[in-house]
Amino acid sequence: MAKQRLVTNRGTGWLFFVAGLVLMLFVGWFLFPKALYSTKTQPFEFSHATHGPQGAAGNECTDCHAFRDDGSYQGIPPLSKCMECHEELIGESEAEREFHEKALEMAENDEQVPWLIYSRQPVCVYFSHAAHVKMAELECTSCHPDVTNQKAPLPYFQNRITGYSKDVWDRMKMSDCGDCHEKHGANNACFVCHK
Amino acid sequence: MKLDRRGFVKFLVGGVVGTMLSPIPWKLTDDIAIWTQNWPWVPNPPNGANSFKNTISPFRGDGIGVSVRLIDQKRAVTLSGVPDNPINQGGMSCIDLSGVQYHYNQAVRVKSPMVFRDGAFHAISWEEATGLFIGKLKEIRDQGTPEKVALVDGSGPGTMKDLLGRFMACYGSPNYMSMPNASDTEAQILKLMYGAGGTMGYDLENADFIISFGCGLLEGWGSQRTLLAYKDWRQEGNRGKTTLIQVAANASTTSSKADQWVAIAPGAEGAFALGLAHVILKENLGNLGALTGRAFGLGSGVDSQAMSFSGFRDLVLEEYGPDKVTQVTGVSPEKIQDLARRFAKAKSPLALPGRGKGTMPGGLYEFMAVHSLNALVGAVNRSGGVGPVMSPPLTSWPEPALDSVAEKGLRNARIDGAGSRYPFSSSLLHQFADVVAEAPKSPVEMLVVYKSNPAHNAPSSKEFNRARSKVPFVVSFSSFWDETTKNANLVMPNHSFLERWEDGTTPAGVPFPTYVLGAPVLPPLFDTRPTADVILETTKALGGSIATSFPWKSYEDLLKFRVAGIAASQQGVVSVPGSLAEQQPRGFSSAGDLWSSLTENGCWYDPSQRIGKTATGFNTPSGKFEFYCNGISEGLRQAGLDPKRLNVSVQGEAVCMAHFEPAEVEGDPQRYPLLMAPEELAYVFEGEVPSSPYMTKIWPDTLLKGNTLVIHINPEDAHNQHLYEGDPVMIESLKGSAEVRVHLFNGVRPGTVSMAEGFGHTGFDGYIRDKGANTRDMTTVASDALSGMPLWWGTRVKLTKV
Amino acid sequence: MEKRHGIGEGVKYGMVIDLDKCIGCGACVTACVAENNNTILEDETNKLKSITWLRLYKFDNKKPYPETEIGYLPRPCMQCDSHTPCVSVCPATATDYDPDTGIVSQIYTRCIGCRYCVAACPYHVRYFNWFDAVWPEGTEACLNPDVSPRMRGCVEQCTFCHHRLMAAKNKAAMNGSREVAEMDYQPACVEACPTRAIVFGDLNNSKHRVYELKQSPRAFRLLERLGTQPKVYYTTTHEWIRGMSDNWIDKEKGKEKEKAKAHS
Repeated sequence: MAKQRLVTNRGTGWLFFVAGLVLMLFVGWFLFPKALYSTKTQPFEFSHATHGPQGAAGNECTDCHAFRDDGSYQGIPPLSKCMECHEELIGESEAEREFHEKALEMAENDEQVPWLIYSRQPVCVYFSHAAHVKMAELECTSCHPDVTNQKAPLPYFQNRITGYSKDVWDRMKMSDCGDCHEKHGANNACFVCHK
Repeated sequence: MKLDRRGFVKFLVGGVVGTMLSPIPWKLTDDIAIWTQNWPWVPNPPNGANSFKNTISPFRGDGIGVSVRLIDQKRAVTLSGVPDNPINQGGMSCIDLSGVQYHYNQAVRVKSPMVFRDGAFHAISWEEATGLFIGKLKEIRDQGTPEKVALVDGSGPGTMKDLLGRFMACYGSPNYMSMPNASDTEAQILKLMYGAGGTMGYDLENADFIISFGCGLLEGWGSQRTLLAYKDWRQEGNRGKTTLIQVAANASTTSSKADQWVAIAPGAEGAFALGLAHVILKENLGNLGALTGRAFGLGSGVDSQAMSFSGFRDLVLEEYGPDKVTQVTGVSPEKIQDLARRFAKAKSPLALPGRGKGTMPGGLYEFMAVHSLNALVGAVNRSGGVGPVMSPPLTSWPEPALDSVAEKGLRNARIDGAGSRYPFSSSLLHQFADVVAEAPKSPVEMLVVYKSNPAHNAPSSKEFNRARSKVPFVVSFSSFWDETTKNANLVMPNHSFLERWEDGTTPAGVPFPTYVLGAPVLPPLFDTRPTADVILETTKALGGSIATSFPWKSYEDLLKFRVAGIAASQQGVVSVPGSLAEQQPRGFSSAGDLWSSLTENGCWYDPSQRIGKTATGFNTPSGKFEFYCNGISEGLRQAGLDPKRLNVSVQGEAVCMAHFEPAEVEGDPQRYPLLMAPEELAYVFEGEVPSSPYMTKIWPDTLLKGNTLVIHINPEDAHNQHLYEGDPVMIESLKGSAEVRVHLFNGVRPGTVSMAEGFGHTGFDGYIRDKGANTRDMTTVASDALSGMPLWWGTRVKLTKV
Repeated sequence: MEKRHGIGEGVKYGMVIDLDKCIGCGACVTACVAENNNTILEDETNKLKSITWLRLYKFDNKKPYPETEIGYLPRPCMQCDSHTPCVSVCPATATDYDPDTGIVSQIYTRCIGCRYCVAACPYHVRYFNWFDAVWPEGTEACLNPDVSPRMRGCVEQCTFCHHRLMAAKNKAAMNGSREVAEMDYQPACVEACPTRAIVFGDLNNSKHRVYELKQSPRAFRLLERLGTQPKVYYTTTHEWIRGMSDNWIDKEKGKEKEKAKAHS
C-alpha cells in the first residue's frame, strides 16, 4: 500500500510545485502591485488634450510648464497661471464650472490647487530641467509620458510603503539617472543630483 | 491525488520559487530601504519662485540696505546686503542677517495686543488696546498734567524719532527720552564747537592717519560703512598707506587689527588727546594755516560774556606736558611725542572719539579734547577729516500747533534735568530713572516705550526697573517679549520690520547725507499694527491742536510728505543697481520717480555734500570753530548755573575748553580692587533685540560656557587671587553680583576685568534667556561733569572664588 | 577610481581668506547658518554637539600685556584636493569628491552615521547630527529650499554652497552656456562679509581673483604638511598666525620665512 502510494505521487507531485509556483507568481505579479499602491485621483479633471497644441486652447507645453528667468523650472503652473484664462467661465462643461468655482475660492484664500505630481522627487534630490532641456536638448517625452492627447489625468499611484508616486521610483531611480549620465559622459558626481 | 506532507513541501517550494521569480522580495527590500530615508518630522522647506525685495534693516539703526529673498513672494528665507547701498555696499552684520529669524520666531513675537490684569497677560482686541491707551492719555491731559507722560524711544535718527518727539510736544510733555548714545555727545560738540546741526561725519576712507580714542571701529562703531573704510586700508596695494592707531585699555579686535595699539589707563583717553595736542603746539607741528581766522579761543581773547581768557594753547602747554600725561595715561613720554609727530605730519590725520560701539555716550570734555586735536591738525571740514554733515533735505515738519495745556505742560522742567540742570543735554535716561526711583510718588503716570528695552539695557537697568515699577501705567510698543514688555501694563505690538514702513537719516559717522526707506515686504503674520499708525490714530482721537498737528492719514502718507522735500531739492542720487560704480550716478526726474525708486532700492544719498566738498561756515557765537566754547559759558549763565559749583574739576576759563576730567569711579578701591570694563563685541548684540539664536554659533568658548558668562582677567591678577583658568567666581560691585567663570587673558590690563555686554536676559526664548549676566545690572553709572551724560566704562568690582 | 586632477587642471573652486581683513564679526557664520539650514541648539556652547559648517576661531598670541594680539580664523570645509581624508575612509560612499569642481559632497540619506570621516578629518569640519533637527519655534518658515534639512544620525559639512553653483549653472543654461561667471557663484559667507575678507572663485582660472591671491607669498593653508592640498588659502602679515596654522615649533620660523621668500 505504502509503496503504491509513493508511486502514484511520484507521477503527480510536481503539480503541487507548479500550483505553488503559479500561485505566488500570480500574487507577486498581479496582486502585489495592486496591493502595494493606493490609487489617488487629481483634484480636477484636467485635459491636456484640450489645453495642448492640438486642443481648443492651443497652448505650447512651455506656456504653462515654463522656465523662470533665473533658469529654475516652474513645473506645474501656479493657480495664477490657470486664472489668466479661467477667471471667466470657459464653455459649459460641468468640470469647467466646478473648477471655475473652486479656483475662484482658492485664489481668494491664496491657496494652490493640490495637484498630485507624478514625478515629485525626494527632498534630497536636485534636478535641473535647464541642464537637460536647454543644454542636453532632451525632449520632454524622453522622461515624461506624452500627454498631448490625454483627455483625463492618469491615475496617481502612491506606494504605501515609501509614500512616493509609482512613476518616480519605478522609472526615475538613481541608477536610471546614473546610467544615462554614464552613457553620455555627463558628470556623475553626487552633488550633481543631490542637495 | 492527495495533499500529503511531501506534496505540501513541494507546494511550499513552488511558492518560494514563484515568490523569488516575482517582484515581491526585491521590490519590498527596495521600498523598505526608501522608507528608511523618509524622515517626515524633518521639515521640508517648500520650493517656489525666487524673488528679491529691498528694504532696510532696523536693528543697528544705521540704515543698511538688505535684500530679502522670497519664495513665491510670501516666504522670506534669507537676507543679503544690497550692493549699491552706500552704507554697507552689500556687507552685512550678524544681527542684520538674523532679521528673518526674528520675524518668524513665534516664541519671542507678541502676537496680539495684551493687557496685564489680575497678575497675568490677556490678549485683547486692537479697539480695546487703543481705547485704553487713548483713554489714559485723555485722562492725564484732562487733569492738566500732560508732563506726567514720559516716553523712551530707542529708534535711530529718522521720521519715527521725529514723530514721537513731536507727538510728545503737541501732547504737552517735555519728557521725551532717547536711549543714550555717543551721537548725543556728538550733537553737543556740533553745537558748541562747530555751531552746526546735522550729524558728525568722519571721512575715514580719505584719512591716512587715524587715531581712535577707544572706538570699537571693528566692533560696530558708527555704521557698517566704517568696515568698508577698514577694507580699503587693508586692501592689497594699499598696505602702509593708512595708519590706524588704537588707544585703548584692553586688547580688543580693533586694537589687534590696528597698526599700533597704545595701551592706556582706562578713562584717560581725554588726557592722552591733550598730551598729543601739547606736543603739536609746543613743536609747532599743527596745520594751523587751515584754521587761520577761522578758530576761536586757541590764543587769548574775550568771550561773548565779555570775560577774557588766555586760550587753549596756554592751557594745553601749561597743563598737559608729556610727563604729566604719562602719569595719568601710563604711556611713556617718548611714545606720546613720537605719535604726536607722526600724527601731525600725516597728510590727512584724523582723531576719533567714543568708546565701543557708541552705545555709551562719551564725556563732553573728552570729546572736546579729540575735536580740538582734529582742529589743530587741520582735519576740520576737510576731505579725510571731520565735520558736520547736513541733514537730508526732507520736507521740514510744519510748526506744531500747541494748545494752552501743551504750552503749560512744556513749561515744566524735564524730569531728567536735561536742559535745566544739564543745559547741554537733550535727554538723560539714567537721571530720569534716579529721580523716579527716589521720589516718594512717581512724577510720571504713564511711561511709553518704543523700540528699546531699557529694563535690560538702560545704563543702570536696576534703577530703571525700580523707577518703572513705580510708574502706574507702562505701555510697550515692542514686537517682542523683551524684559520691558514683560513688565508692561499694556502691549501694543509693532509690525516686524518686514511688515512695516521704516526710514532713517544719516547714520553716525557717515561723511555725506543719506536717507534710507524700506517698504513692507510681507503681510503681517500676527495681529499687530505699525506703531506709527497707532500714534497717528491716537492724535486723531485726542483731537484739537494735537489732531491738527498731524494731518497725515497714515505713516506712508507722512513719509511721502517728507520725501517730497528731497525731490524738491533735486539733489543727490538713488542707489539704483550699478550706481555706486558710476562716475555720474543718475538722479531722479520727479517726486513720483524718487518715491518709487527709493522704495525699490532703499537709499538716497548726496555725495556732493561730502565733508570737505562744501564750504561750511561755523554758526557759533564767534562765527568760528571754537576751542573756547562761548556756548558753554552762555549755557551755564542762562541756566543760572555757577561754574564753580558744578561738578567740573577745573575752574575759570578751562570750564569752556577741552580739559581732562579725572575718572570718578564709585566704590572703595580697597574693597573693590579691580575695575570692570564692559566689553562690546561685534558678535553680541544689544538693542531692541538681543543676539539671535543664529549668533550663538559664533561665540567662542571664552565668552560663554553653558549658561555661565566668562570674564577675562590678566594672569597676573589671577595669580594674585589664586585663580585658575575656568574657575567659577563671584563678581561683585556696589550695585550687584553675578556668578561667572574666569578666562586668563594677557590682553586685559592688569587691575581690570573685561566683561561682555549683552547677556543676562530674562525675556525672549530659551536661546538667549538666562544666559550669562547683565553688566548693566552691575555697573555704577557716573554722570559726566558738564553734560550729565551717563558714563559706565568702569565699575569697581571684586572677585571671590566660589 | 576616478582620475584625480590636482590644483592646476580643470575647474577647482577655492577660497582665499585675508586674515588681516577678517575682524571676527561673525557675519559669515550667521549667513552660513541661515543659508544652509544648520540646526540650532539651545546651548551652542557645547561644541561637541553643535554644528557650525563655518566656524570662527578666536585666538591670541599669548604675549604679555600690552603686546597681546587677538586673531580670528573662519574655517569652512577645506575641500582637500589630495587624499581627501573623509572621502578615503567613507565606507558608504556617502561623501565624495567631484573632480569637475573640486567640491566634496555629502549625501545625508546615504550616510550611515559611522563618523569615520569625522575622525579622519584633520580640520574638524565634519559634524554629526546627534539630535533631530531643531529650530526656534516658527523659524522653520525661513528654511532655504535649496538645501535639504538633515536628519538625526548623519554627518554634514560645508559644501561651498554647492546649491548656488547649481543655480548659477541654471542661469547660464538659460543663455545656452555652461560657463559660470565668477560673481554668479559666490557662497553665502563671501557675500555677507562686510570687509570682503573672503574671496572665492576658480583657483585655476587666471581671470578669477583667487588665482592671483593664492600666489601671494603671504598665502598659506592649514596643516599644509599633511599634504591634503586644501583649497582654502589664508593670507596674513602676522607671522604668529601663520605659525599657528601649521603648528610651527620655534626653530622652524626662520626656515618657513625663507621658504615664503623663495616663493615670492
